[in-house]
Amino acid sequence: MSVVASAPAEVVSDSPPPVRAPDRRRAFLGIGAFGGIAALAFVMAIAIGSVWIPPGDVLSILFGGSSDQTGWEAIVRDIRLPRSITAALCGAGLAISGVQMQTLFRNPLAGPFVLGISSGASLGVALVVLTAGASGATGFLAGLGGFGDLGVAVAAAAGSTVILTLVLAVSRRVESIATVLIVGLMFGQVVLAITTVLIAGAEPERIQAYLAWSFGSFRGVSWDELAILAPVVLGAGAGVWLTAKHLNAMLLGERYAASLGVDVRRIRRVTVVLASLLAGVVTAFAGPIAFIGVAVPHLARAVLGTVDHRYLLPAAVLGGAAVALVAEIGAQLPGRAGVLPLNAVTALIGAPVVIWVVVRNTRSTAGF
Amino acid sequence: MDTSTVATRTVLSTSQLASGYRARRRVERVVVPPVDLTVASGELVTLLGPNGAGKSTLLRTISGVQPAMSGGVTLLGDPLDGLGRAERARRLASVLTERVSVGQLAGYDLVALGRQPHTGWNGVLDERDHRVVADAIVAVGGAHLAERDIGELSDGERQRLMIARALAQEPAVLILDEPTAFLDVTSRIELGALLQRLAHERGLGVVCSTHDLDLALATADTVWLLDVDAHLSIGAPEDLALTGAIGTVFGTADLEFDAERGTFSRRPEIAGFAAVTGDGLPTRLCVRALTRIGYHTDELPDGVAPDVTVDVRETGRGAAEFVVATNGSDVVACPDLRTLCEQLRSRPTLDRLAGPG
Repeated sequence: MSVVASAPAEVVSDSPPPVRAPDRRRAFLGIGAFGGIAALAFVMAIAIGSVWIPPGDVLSILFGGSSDQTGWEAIVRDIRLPRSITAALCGAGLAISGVQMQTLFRNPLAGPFVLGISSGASLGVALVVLTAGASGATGFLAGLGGFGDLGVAVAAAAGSTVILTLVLAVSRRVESIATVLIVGLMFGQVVLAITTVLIAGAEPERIQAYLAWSFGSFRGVSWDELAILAPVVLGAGAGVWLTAKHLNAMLLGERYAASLGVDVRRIRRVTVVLASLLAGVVTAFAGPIAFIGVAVPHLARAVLGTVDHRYLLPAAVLGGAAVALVAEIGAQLPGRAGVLPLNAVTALIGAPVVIWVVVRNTRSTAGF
Repeated sequence: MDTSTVATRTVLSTSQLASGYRARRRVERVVVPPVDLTVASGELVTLLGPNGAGKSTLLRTISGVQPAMSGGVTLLGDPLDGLGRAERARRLASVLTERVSVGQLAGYDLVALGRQPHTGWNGVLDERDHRVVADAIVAVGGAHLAERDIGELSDGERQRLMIARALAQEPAVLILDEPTAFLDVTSRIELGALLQRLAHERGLGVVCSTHDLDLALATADTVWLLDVDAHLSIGAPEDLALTGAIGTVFGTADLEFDAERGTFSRRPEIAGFAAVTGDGLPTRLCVRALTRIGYHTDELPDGVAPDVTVDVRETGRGAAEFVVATNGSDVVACPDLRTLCEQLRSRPTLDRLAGPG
């Protein structure tokens, strides 16, 4: 306390402190960091494999140059580039879908698959793989070697569409979004039960083929299939971007969102459709990839320090791509000995991330 | 919309508005029967009533969240039903009962959400939007909260920002449903003062439901009083005190409404009659202590001798001695009121008078 308080000083102290908008630098830096990691992982995912291709050569091949080693160009063009693009698209799609579901249900454990998308896809695949043509299935099973097999993708897409349609039909009739969540979970349980019954009565080779699908994989997606996957993920992602403003309002709860002029039923419907489309198309081509959709949104919020979807969505796209690519690199680690199941790697990366984020931010994420 | 205009005008009115809900298809349950209400700019209306009287239902119907059973609401001259969602949000803002529990959102960003009805598809704020947000934050005295994470704020601080968010909508009408529900005493009083200021200085029509009677009576310009049967009485707090409406709605066997002070007190079970002599604050506080433990201290009815007499002697600043005499027994000097009360509670006279037998 100063004894000599001059009059002007008092006038200054009387005026209210200036109200400042929060600093956005951290958010932009975070998005930049995710982008940098994603770019690095993209190159490394192409470099690593049964044959090591130095990153310098990878870059020169990617940018249209040629490389000293014959065969590298073909490996990059036909196998590793589509694989890395698939990983990036799937990671981005799942992360966007996860952000949407966590906001819609205001639940930190929500993810792309809460509405039964993955169980629906699993049922579709199980029906095709486990029961198709009881005899003479060997040819079909042989064709299943690559997961990009379009028949499996169609079966997965059909299964998830059926479940989604059922969930949407129910959600039109009920007022509470929590009810929709429970209905989705229960559909998932029913579908899982049917799948289990199918597995119990199936031949061992078929079960193995089904299990291999359920491990998840970014491999074997051809350029032709990317021509389906990429437009769907990019289109749905762009659609989600258009809803960012209203998703921000939904953070306060549906009633507050309505009081701010948001058409809650519409945003709910649009969000469920787009999130399911993203999760469904990813599952169709890459199988039920666990953890990326739940963990990446948390990672993005923790790094950015904001839940504003206008920053969170770009961060989720880049972070999702980065995590998926890192997981794909991790799956390659055994080298010539083979590859690890992708879902094992995503869980090994994802679970610690969720634990770290939740423990570190107990207070700020508690309510989310 | 210029909300700073001082001239009073009706900003919201209802005509024969009945609120309730459809329990099942074609089964309507009217909670509050048809009412005609008006809210003027600069008026702080408090909707008062016991729990379950239908306060929230009425407010939700007025703000258009819930369809009316019959009748309608007029907002700034237009029927509420005919307004688009965004236009409605530009005229009327709500602060709801539910607790917002989102983390990692700066106070400023929370308030900025209030600009949504005014911004484009991606919610980008222009210069004016930023000015309105800053002004709303200052208006609720929340400048120091702008950069804080709302997950780390106290309930009172968060409630302030929720009101700032409503102000950022630049509405003509502000509706608050039980805004004091989670607040401690200090925050409740501050909130009352804030609402009064928003109505009187900014010309907002404010409707605030509460079952916090003290706050309502101390700040409201108009009280809408709902009783358990959903009957509505309207008037200044003092009008309703005079007609006895408040006493009827809130009074119970144990509670008595003091119309003059506008407070409720426990209807005392008379433990005895006391006469207090002395003056100054110690004497007044002694009377209060005796009242609290059930003694009647006003003028004695004719022919009744006091059961207890207390002589208060001020012994210094903030210190006094209380000399107690009960009829027919010894005289005790108590150094403080706690001792005095203990003395009286242990008196056999108390037993004689307390019970009906």
